[in-house]
Amino acid sequence: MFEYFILAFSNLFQIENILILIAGSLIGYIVGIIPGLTPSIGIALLIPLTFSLEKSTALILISSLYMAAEYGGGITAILLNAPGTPAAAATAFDGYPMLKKGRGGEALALSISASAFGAFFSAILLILTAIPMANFALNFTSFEYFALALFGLCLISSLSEGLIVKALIALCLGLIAITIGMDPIDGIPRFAYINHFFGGIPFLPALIGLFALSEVFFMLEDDNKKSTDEEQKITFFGIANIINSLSKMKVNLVRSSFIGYIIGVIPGAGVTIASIVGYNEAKRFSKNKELFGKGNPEGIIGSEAANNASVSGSFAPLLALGIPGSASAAIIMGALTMQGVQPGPLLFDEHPDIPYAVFVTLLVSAPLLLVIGLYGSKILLNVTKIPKNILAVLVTGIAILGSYSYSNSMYPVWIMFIAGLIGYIFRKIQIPTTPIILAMVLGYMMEVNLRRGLIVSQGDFSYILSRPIALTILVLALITFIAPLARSLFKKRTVESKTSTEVLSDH
Amino acid sequence: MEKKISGNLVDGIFSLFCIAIGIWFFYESIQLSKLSSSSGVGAGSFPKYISIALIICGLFLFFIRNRKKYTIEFNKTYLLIRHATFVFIYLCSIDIIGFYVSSLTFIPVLLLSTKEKRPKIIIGITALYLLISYLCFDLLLGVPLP
Repeated sequence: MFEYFILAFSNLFQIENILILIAGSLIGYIVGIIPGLTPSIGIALLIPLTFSLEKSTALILISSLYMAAEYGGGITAILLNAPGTPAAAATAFDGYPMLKKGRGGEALALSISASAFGAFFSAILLILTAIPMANFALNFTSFEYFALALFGLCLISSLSEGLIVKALIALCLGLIAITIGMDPIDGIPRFAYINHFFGGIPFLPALIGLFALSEVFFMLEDDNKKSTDEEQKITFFGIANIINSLSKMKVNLVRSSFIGYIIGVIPGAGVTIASIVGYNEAKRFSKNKELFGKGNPEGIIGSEAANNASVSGSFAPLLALGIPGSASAAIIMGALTMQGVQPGPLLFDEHPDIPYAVFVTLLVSAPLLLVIGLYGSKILLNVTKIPKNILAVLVTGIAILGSYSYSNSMYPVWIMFIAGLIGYIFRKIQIPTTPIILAMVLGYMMEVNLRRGLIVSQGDFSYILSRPIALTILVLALITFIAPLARSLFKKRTVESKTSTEVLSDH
Repeated sequence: MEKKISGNLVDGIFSLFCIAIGIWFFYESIQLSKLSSSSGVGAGSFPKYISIALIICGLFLFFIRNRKKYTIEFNKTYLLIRHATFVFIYLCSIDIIGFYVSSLTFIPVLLLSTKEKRPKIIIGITALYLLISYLCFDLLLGVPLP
């Protein structure tokens, strides 16, 4: 093992490969920043370029782009409330409010640093546990995936403010939206009233509309011309401040990285789920839960560390078993196959340079992205100086471009526009939009796996009780849903009894 | 100009809307169940149960809506409607006259509608937007804009 590492490092530190690493990181960073472009689009666009490269060089390019794209997604989430990637949606929950409070520099710096830590930490976990974790992931059948999706949906009770019934309504509307299109099991069209609906409601343009375009309307409504509510100058958050902040949140940082890695290992679970679970767990363990959603840096740490850690996690089943852990990993697998390399159990014996090239790329790209990110954020912070009316038009334009690039057609752009109007109205009438995002991310996974599981068990739902992993996740889901409600009910009753005690003592 | 509307009234209307949506999708799901060949959990099952959940939540919201009174404030409604209308026309025009021509027309219109009056800013922002669109999307990423 050690000699393969030495060889991989010496290969990486050749001039050609270092330049490829930097190029991949920069391209991935830009892809991640632009809403509408996902890491899988960036990887797909670069694949043709890799045909003329050496196998290990091609993998350095693709791996660095994949990591950097997830990295860059948090930038626009914080600056414009327009997540560059779906996984950065949770970063926007607290990142954008921090910007509005004049703490944009801090939010960006913490996002970048947490991402770098998550990437580096999970790269080490990948090196040490790739094969055993991949074998563990093989125990996941349809019922486990269903339970995992349900667990994710139960997070609405802790992520949503206000009335839980409004959050449930938003969740139901999101779940109905994902049923539009071709049924994945029976292949019949569902609610496809127009031709475009056969392809379903595209998630990413809907996300851009719900977050970015709805925010444009709020920007126009606001009398304050400045982009931030606070008069103070938005400054770059220095290295000393970053280290100080991260050391205070080190438990959150490590926990979120673990969560991200473990969820990343599960094929099909996705980076977005990792980021939302990381955010939720950061909130669960925080002493300042009520500050989440209003500009709490712990939320950014939880989301960003988890989403970058899951990138490394998705390589574990890909390299060890030949099963891609995410859509991007599936494209990478295609690229490897075209190069004549078959990922799987024999990869480590037949082509050991490939997995070790991935390992060292992930290790080296983390600090590189930290440098790129911190210097880039100094330039990007100037976005906060743009007056709101101009920013509103620019964000509208970027949202249109990003949505168009989803499938090179105007249909996603219209979805984005409608979602923007819905997002604005929902936020006005205090209907949270987070459950809609959760539903669109997890609803498909939940339905498909439940139905597949029931086909296998011949309609017997109690079969799930014989699956210990699924049962454990379901119990966790129940606790996750009920605990925040019970806590808020208990708090309300305590406040009411305190108030009545005070009234009685006054009399 | 500020407009205020009772949040509880809006909640009532919204809950009725949700109930209507739920009933519609429930009816459509039943039709789907007839079409589906799967025994057990067919194409219509999942939307059916979600529709039922939506109807129940809608009813619940309708009956508890007056527990906590709140108002919704709309500021500069005319500006928002104007912006949304111009964006709508902009999107319609992209398919007809192409992205670059429609952006050349409507980016300045959108800026003017947000009360931006400085010609240098309007021209500069429009030029910057077109340049970024061409460089990033057309040239670098190979996304052919209409």
